[in-house]
Amino acid sequence: MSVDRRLAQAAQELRGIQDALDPTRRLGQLHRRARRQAARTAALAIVALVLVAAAWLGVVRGHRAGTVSVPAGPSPQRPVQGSLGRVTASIPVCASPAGVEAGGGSLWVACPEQGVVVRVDAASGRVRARIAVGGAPGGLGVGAGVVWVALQDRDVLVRIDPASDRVTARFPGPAYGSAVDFGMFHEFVKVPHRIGVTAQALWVPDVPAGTIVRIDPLTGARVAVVRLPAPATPAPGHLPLAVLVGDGIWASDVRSGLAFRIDPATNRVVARRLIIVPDGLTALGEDADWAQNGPDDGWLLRRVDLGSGHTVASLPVGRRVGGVAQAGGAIWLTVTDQGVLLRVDP
Amino acid sequence: MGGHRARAGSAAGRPAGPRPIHAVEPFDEFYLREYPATVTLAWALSGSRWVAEELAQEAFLAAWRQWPRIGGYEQPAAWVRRVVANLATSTIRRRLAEARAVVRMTAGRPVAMPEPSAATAEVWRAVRALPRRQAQVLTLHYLLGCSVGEIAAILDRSERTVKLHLHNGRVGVGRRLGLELEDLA
Repeated sequence: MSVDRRLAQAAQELRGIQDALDPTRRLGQLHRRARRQAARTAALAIVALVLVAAAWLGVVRGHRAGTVSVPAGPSPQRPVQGSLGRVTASIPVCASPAGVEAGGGSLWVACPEQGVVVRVDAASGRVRARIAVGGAPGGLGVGAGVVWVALQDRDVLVRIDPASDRVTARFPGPAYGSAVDFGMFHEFVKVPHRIGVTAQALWVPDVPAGTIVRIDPLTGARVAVVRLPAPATPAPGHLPLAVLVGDGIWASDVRSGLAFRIDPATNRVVARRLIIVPDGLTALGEDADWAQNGPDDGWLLRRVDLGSGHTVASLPVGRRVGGVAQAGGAIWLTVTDQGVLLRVDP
Repeated sequence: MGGHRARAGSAAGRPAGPRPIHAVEPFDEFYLREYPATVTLAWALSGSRWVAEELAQEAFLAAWRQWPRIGGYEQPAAWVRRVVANLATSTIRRRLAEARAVVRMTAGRPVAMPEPSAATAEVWRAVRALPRRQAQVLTLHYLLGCSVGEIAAILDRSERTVKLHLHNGRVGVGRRLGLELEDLA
């Protein structure tokens, strides 16, 4: 049977099932939810008005007493308090860029639709190379002088040599983007994850399996599979999205909101800590976590304190962010729907 | 009732045009007509009926907030489909929908529905395993019967790009389903 016919049959069966849906009941629920949101918005507006009035009274009183200087308002040249900073560069990279990593004075951007990794010079902002990787790049990892790329359509790991901008190795990797069956829920995960890289090991999230796979960077051999401890509260399963190599090897699990420390000597989890990620992006950044709101909030990138879960600073982006990285004191982020890499300076 | 009619499965014209060009149809009528197809689209792309219902609800809620503008578009259904297609392929938004679905299910009265056969589920799993745009293009084409031009308008991509995604998507599904190359013609 042809692909076309299989797809047509599958579509026909699903369309048949949709007749059992009950839109009338759901319409009532939508109206109730809309009313609740409207009430919340009105309450927030009142609170904002009260705060503005209080601030205005404070400024006026300060002027009268001669003790308070009026601060200059926010301008494009001066970041506002609580802002991540200001956008200082917008670099076209490709349609629908995904993850981004920093290393070796460059930014490495995954472009799944074009099958390339784009190398951008961090100092000049110029595109230095477009490296064909033989598939759709998804996750990235930089370390030990090389760049590793997980191909989301081939379940393959690819090594790029920054000296030549060429692919120098290709190994089988963990499954990247197959259906994840959590019993009641079937979830498909295909987001840019983050690979932990050291000279001795690659630590690759196996998102569908909910494990971290250790791979020998020289031979591509699968050395160990690190299973994450069961969460304390009932949950459908782990969703590891990032491995960070720094103060130890840490793997984040955005489903349970925990980060697990892996001992490379035993390949076992030896510690855990809470990371509060309301809606994680890559779920483990350099010294903070990244989250984003949208589209109701107009796609707002937030820097979240790992310990408290509080938003430290934010930046209205307007569109969906594909990945975030830090390099040279700046924040770099890909904006998926605009095809650009943005540089944000504090 | 306004004179506008948005057919299910049709999405001609830009989904987010700059100005209303039709009289605005009552939102409730639009919702009752478009809800089943929108849920089915989200179902195919997310793999879960419960999550799909939440994603569809979120898309319709966004449309409701701006209904005087969106309801005047030539094809407001195209706008909702674009929103739901993007929501369904975003892990973050899907997780939030999943959480709401859990609350809804535990609150009681889940409605029993037939599940797709194993063969059909296998096909949609293969579609979801494709890159995001390919999955969206294949689902819009086969499930909702959208033409290449309509898909280009919904996803804001060129027709050439849509054709490329359609071809690559078919090849990808064929490979995952183990069909021989001659079957891909």
